[in-house]
Amino acid sequence: MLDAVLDVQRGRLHLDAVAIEAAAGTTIAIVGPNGAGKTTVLQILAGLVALDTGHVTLDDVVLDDPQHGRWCDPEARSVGVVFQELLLFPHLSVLENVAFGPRSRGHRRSDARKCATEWLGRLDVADLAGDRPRALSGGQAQRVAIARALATEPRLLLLDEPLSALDASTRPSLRRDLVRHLETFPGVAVVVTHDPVEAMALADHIVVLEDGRVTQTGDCDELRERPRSDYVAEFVGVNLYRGTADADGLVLANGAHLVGGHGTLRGDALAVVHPRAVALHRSRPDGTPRNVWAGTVRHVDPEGDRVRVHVDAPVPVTAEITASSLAELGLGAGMPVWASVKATEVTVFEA
Amino acid sequence: MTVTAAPRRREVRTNRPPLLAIIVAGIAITFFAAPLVGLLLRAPWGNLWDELSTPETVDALKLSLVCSLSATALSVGFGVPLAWVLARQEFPGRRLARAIVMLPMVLPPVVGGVALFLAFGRRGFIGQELDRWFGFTLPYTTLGVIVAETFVAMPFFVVTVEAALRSVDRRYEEAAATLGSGRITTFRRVTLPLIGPSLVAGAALSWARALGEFGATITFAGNLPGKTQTMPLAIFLEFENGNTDGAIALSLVLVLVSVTVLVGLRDRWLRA
Repeated sequence: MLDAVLDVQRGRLHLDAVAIEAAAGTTIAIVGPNGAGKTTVLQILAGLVALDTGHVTLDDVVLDDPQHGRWCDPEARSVGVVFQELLLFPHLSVLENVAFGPRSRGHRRSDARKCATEWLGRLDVADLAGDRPRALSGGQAQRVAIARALATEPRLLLLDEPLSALDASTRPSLRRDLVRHLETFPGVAVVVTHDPVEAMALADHIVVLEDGRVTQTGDCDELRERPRSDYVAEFVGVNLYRGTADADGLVLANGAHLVGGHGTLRGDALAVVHPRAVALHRSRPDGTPRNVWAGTVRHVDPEGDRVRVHVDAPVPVTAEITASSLAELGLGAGMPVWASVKATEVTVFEA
Repeated sequence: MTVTAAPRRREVRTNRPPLLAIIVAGIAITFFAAPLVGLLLRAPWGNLWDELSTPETVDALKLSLVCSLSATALSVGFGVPLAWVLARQEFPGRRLARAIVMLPMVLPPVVGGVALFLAFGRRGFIGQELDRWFGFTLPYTTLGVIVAETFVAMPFFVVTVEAALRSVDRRYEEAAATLGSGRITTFRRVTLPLIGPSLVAGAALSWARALGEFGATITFAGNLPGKTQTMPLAIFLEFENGNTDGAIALSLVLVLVSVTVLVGLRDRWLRA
């Protein structure tokens, strides 16, 4: 079980009472824009950066607590790290890289090698044992780095952007394997990522870090239903609006009106619209939708067999439609378009 | 993309061979090559072996080898911790400490010899204590030769290794720490292997310097055949006494060693 409150000033970055709590057997994702302090959080947990104030406790062992003068050196922590740059030792073979941890923790050379061989096998890279790290492909090196971190059987596993360096063809298989290993991992795992798919696939709980502060925590559904910042909305891929709630819904700063919600809320509020709930039309739609805006297509992003169409309108909106509907509509950047959203698809909540 | 003609014309101008510079450079290269050629032209190729197998020469060769290798070993043994402290530890006076360590690289060796004598000689402020407590003196002994050579050679090792320690990616050491490796183990198993090429280069460099050491040795340890007369000293003596063939034969050995070291380090120095 991990319990940490992190406060540290490093150059221009200020981690401000970043609280992280996780039970054994769970995985936390830390997401956030570049420079938010995600990697620094991992460095603190690993003992590579010391806290100014706050504490880090792992399984009731205090690792860092400056107020009480407690500090545990990184080599004495039960922590495994998969660094973003992997940092496999270039002068050691794959086997010796993985055996390095067990050996440093006092195992005999032969035992350490046996343990390393087992872990390489678990990550499907046993046949690379004799290779040097520079001979490995990106995916292979990533697997070796994961094996190296797990071989010490840490109580806390830290993964810094574990899949970001991989190309699109190797990423899914490694993601699946990582999910499998994290499911059986008995300790706490913390994954830093800026990939929503990764966060949702790997983590039970997501901590959003923006500019050194936790702006939101929750599971994927909570984030999707109630994003608290533009970053989170973008991250989970929904439309987020800020404005003032009235009986009909939400009034935006530009005066445009988004109809929906229960009408019970007043004052500063947020509203969310899922892109799949947005319908696009070439002409003004008839019928029931309460929210209808005329606009122009800003740009079109293909995403698998679906496309995201960004529409400039009084209420700017992103719609997600199938590639075939896009073809039917014949839409392209700069073209006029009508967007509609049913009032029941608009969620208004307190800011 | 628009490509204008101007840069290309400028390129043509810079590509034109600068004749004057080539001539001056040619003279300089000749200046370096000529002595080597002279040595090779005058070498007593016929009786080279005889010249090198006289008892005095064999003594000088053996002594040179023993002393220079000992000096290299001392340079490595003391130089690694010293380089680490200079590269990694913040302490007041670090710049001064580094300057003192580097001084022998620019100090005239004969001055180094005199200075060593004043410190470690029989009446030197450290030497007299050594004499009183342990009953041994350094000047005019083989140990004195090793001390003189170490004094002159170690800085070459230290600068090389210090630079390597500064440029090594410390995140590898952090990775080792997260794997449970303590400071000393990390240094031994990660840092040293990562700077391995620099260790070898530094050791080779200081060995070459120790092997050629003359000024400090003759001042501090004298010129006693079989005891302190290393190769450079023997070469000087033979040359002074008119035995040019002997001097050339010994010189060729040192040239061979130097060329070998240079070739061994070519990846570091000769890569253009």
